[in-house]
Amino acid sequence: MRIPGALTNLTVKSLYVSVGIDTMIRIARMVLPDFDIYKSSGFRESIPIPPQDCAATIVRIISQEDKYLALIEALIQVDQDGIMGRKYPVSNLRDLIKGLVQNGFTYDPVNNLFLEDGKQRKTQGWGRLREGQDYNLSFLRMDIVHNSKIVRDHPQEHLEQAFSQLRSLVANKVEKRLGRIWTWEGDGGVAAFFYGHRQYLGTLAAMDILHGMVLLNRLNNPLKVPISLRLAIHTGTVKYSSDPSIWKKNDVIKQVIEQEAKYTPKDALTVSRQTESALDRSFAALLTPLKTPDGTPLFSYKLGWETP
Amino acid sequence: MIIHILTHTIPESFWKPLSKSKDHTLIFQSEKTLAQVVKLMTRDDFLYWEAPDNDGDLKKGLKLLIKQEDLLWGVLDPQAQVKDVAELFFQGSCDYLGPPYFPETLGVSRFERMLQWCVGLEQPGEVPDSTQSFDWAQVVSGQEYPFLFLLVSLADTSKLKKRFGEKRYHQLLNDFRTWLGWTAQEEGGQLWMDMDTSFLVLFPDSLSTTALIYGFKTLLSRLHLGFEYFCLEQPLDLILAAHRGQCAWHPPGQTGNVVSDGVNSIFHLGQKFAQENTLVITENCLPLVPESLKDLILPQGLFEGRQTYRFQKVQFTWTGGQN
Repeated sequence: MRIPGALTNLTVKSLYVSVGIDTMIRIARMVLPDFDIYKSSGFRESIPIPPQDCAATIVRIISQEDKYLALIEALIQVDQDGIMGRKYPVSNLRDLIKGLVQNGFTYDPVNNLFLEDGKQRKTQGWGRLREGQDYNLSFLRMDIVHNSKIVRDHPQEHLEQAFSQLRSLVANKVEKRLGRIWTWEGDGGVAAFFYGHRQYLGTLAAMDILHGMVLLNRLNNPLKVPISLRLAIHTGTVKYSSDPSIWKKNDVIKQVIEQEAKYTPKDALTVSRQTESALDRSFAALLTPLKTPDGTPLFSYKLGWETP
Repeated sequence: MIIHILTHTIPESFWKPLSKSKDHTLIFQSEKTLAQVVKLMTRDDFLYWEAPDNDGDLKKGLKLLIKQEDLLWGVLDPQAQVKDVAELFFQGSCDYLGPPYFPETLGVSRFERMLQWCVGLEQPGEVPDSTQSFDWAQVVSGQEYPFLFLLVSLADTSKLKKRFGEKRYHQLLNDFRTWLGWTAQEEGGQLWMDMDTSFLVLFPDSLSTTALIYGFKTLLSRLHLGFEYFCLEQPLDLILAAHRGQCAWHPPGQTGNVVSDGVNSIFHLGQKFAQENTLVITENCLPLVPESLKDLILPQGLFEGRQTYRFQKVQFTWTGGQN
């Protein structure tokens, strides 16, 4: 990412005004563990480095490594928690955050992470995930039940109308909870959640999709039959790649696809144990343990109606 | 058809044949209420407006009518105030009744022939949906309008108060009020008054179906409202009631002196009769429930002489089912 000069200068100033050289280097190593100020600055070890030069070198090297956002996140963490029990109020922090917001980022206080502002752009990796690195994500798999039959039995015009409504319903419910749709094919797709409380937001989005389907089917569906979905959510660590042929091979993705296809009833959501265990107990109480033939521990949710 | 007749000189006897017809309902009002009547008219109504003696008022009234491209209207002109009658037709008038017609009576067949001719001039599909044209900014204080009243109440508030404490409970009430105001406004409604934990939303009668769908959507969103929006660690328990009626509108916050059977009825229905977590509707709302939702409607019995119905309750927990 390209950082405006004014923001870089402000970051340098924040660093040397707020902390001493040792702490500056410690902060730099929170972002780049192998950071070596002498190697990076060209100063000999026998010569004391002026604080301004030290700060400028840190910001320059970290920006070159494309980890500027991680540096600001580290500064926020230092401001909030201090280092080794000592407080270090970071000056100009508010202006730094404001500067990033103006440059198309938004701040997630739950995880102390910046992400792209969804109103300005939406990319698969939130503008932050790096190719080949491991991340813990929640995945929501969605499948349209009997999709081929629906396609066979309806005219193209009606199909386009129905599927476009479904696509925008799903995008709305996922993206308003900071999720991203990673793939959407004819018969369904996969969405990922990373920011905020990912397990909770993913499960809420899935439930909201099921509720939205009631309205879509009853009020707007141009097809002769209701559209049913099977939804499954699972959480785990994946090596990030923007290439679907790579990320689809990941075990977590394979598991969520299997969970949906093998165990999820139509118009229902199944939640893996890894996801369920991270939910608040009051919220998890909405889920029902599901008896699976092979004992896979799953929980389910389905909207019901009172029996007249 | 509803025929709005805005006149001050033409006797009711002139309309006798039309008033006897089962196909038409006549509503007489002063010609000064033209602006208000036009706002509430739908495409299925007809308007006769008597040309005023004053030239300025005549021009102003005609200007307003000419703008109503989607409404059917005609001019009553016993004093021959309109100078260019042909121009009136060019500008969209469907009928003109000049001095020779008075004091005769207006026959049903003449009225219907005129209507047929006038509707035939319209191209189907070109007419904008008049039900969407209600503008709250134009509503006149003190004037009576038909509304759909939707009462939304928080249920079991004593439990909420006990659980969260007085301060957070009041915060919840405020937040809920804000949420309701925003979402109702998006659907064309107006949060009009509140009483303790009950909030009355007005929808123009032309948006009654939208209002009922909005009530149903609110029931479906109870889970997310409770857990996600208001952080209650439980679905939000609500009581919803809907009824159609008339009342004089006053701006929100100035509704202290409102006396209305419709308003009383909705508060009684919502506070004394409606069950938790469903939407109770009176018989006059039933025809406006979309066909695709009617299988969810259950009869709920008589209340204050009116037949009532309610939506089936949504259940958020599931205990198993078929694949």
